[in-house]
Amino acid sequence: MTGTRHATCVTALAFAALMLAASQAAAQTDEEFDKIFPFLGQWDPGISGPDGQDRGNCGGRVGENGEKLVNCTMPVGRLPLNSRGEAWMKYVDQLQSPTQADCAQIAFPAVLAENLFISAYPGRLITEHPSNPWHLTRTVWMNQAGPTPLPGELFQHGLSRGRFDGNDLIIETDHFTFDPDGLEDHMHMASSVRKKVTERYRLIDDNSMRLIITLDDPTFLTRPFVYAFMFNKAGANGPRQGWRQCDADSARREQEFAYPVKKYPDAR
Amino acid sequence: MKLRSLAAAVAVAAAFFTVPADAHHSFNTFFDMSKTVKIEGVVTSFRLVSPHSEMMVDVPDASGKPVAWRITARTGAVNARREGWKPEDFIGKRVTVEGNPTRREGGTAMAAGVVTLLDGGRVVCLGGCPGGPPVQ
Repeated sequence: MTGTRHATCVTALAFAALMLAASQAAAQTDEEFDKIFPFLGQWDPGISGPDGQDRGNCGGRVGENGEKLVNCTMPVGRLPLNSRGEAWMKYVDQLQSPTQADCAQIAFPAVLAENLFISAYPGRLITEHPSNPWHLTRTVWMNQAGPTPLPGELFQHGLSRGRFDGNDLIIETDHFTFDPDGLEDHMHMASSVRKKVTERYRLIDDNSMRLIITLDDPTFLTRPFVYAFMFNKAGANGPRQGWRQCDADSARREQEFAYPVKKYPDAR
Repeated sequence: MKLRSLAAAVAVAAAFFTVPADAHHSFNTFFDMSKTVKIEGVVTSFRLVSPHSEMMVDVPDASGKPVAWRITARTGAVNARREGWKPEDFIGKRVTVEGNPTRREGGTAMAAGVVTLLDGGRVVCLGGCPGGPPVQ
């Protein structure tokens, strides 16, 4: 009898789990799915062009050779680093930068300063971020669909969940691994497993969209940091993209031949 | 449901089009963009790779011994192919290369710049000069 009861109990639990999963998958209504429609397609932040947005000049920070760091991916001058963050900036050297020396992919939120392509499927979005030398593709699980990570389970690009707040598309990402270039990859500011990135996409009209980013990481920031980009709809007339693959040998050779200083003489 | 079909169609159609974006690499850290240097030598390799295509040139030193110079193109594999660059057009050829020198003292590297093939006079911009590919 005990065995039968046990089997019944397991079956009931499995059925309940199945029903729960089904209800989650169906949590996105047609009305909500249709809200995605104006967000679909290719968006261009116009940063590359001569009249493009200034995504930040690294806030006057200088590199190990005293050179001015340029072309940061956010207005770094206002980035509220705490004492740990400032200590990291004193410690860091670029030879250990995984995005430079080891072809690591650029993290969120830095990659959000690049072009963006959004496509939608029931229960999930795909956002693509073509960024030399990688073409990054991310799944955004909508309305609590998708996997539930195990305690302590972490991902390089985190786990992204999406929802609508009115007509604004909200994407919240956490469960990141520690990343030496994770807050900003030009000044090489790290991010911790406590990093949380909130993206709010707000349509201004059919062809204009504002992305408001809230970046929080209590390990390195005194408070959440909010900044924004404007995107224009690029339509189907943009240049055709190609898949990119980073060449680690070449990236390392660039450091070997051209990196001007060695901050830590005993380090490789 | 109509909207869903249309959305899916737009997604599939537009998936073929995106714009390549800026690289996350500060050339200013590695190279002094306010200076130029010119070398002459023989191309030993030219790799169309990302994040930046890479040309190696043997340049004779004062004693005639070849010294390897690394030339960083200011664009990656996608734009390099779009420009029609072919390694076989360069390897083994004598060239001059003009670009921004590394900040490393005595370093043998530069960000180019202009490559001129001395046999035939073909001029190729590896980025950062008029007519070249987008700088990445």
